[in-house]
Amino acid sequence: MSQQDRTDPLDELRSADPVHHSPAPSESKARVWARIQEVTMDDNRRTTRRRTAWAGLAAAAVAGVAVFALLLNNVGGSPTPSDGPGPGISSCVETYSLETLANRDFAFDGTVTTIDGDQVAFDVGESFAGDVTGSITLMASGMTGTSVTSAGGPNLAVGERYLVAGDETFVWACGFTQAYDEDVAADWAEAAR
Amino acid sequence: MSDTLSGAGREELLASVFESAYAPIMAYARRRTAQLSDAEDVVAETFIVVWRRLDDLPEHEAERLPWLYGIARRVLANQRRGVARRGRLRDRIELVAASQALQTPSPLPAVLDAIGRLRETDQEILRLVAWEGLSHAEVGAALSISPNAAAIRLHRARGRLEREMRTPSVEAKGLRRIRTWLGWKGSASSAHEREEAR
Repeated sequence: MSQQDRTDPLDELRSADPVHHSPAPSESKARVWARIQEVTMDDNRRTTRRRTAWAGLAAAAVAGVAVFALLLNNVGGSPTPSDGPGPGISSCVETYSLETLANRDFAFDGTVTTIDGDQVAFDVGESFAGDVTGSITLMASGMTGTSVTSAGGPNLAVGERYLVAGDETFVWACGFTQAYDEDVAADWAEAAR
Repeated sequence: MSDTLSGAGREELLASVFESAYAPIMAYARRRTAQLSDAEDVVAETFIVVWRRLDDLPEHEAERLPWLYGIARRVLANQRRGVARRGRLRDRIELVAASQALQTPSPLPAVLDAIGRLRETDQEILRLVAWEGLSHAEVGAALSISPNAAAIRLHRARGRLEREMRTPSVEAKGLRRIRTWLGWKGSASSAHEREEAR
């Protein structure tokens, strides 16, 4: 190798790459995706409203059938909370498992006390991770009936008990939030140890 | 390409693009921002733009990343303008600061000091090649110029970087200017020194 090769400024620049040995923390990806999903869901809501406004009576009836069909496709046709990640799993950034559950900031068993838009308040029973106690209000986009998401989450309902996991102020769908089940709760408790 | 996709189909396409491109776009953003939170802002905003422009998403996978870099570059420029408006441009977003935040060896490698003195367009083309590993054609796609123009610009930028690496650092230049300025204030000095002091 000649002297000129050794002092190639591009090679020097490559070796000075500031992120070469410093990967981004894994929770960063979940935070970013949650923010993107907020916007995509808002856009979907706006699109739906716009279409509704322009539709005539007959068209609105057709749209209603279409939305109903879409809901059936996306939440398994059940108005009650689903047990698993749902059919839209491919939209989930991280696939639900007990291993990936450990990546969430919090996990608890809680009962829904109020729903205001996408803001859902939970009365926390047992906290598995994140030391959550008392009452907590979290963003549960796509799980409150205000929007349709392909990310697979239950339709939360006041008074119902759920196993809930998420990051920062967001509840995750995709199986990370699901109807309460004693056996699953025991698995969550075990996974959090 | 996604004009026939339903809402759910669009979401799945976005999720798939995000899954495959998150890591390189995050690395791109982190190399150009001081804080992880700034990089996350850039990445989130980039994919929000992708979501709204899904119809423009290149069909071939190989063309997607350069296209995404192009979006991220404009998002970053907007972020920098916003920060500048708030008077914090040099505090928060600068290659030097990014390097420090990422705990690269201290003192700053000479090449980073030198590239920081180049104009932004030269910096970007050099980084795209050295750090993102893009070809001339891909640089062209990211910067909306022809591959030939990308090759020419790269050649020139590389020459400027090489020259800049042979010149004194910013700190050394600063000290020289201070000395010159003191000389100019204290006694008669040459027109050249006065010019340099400016």
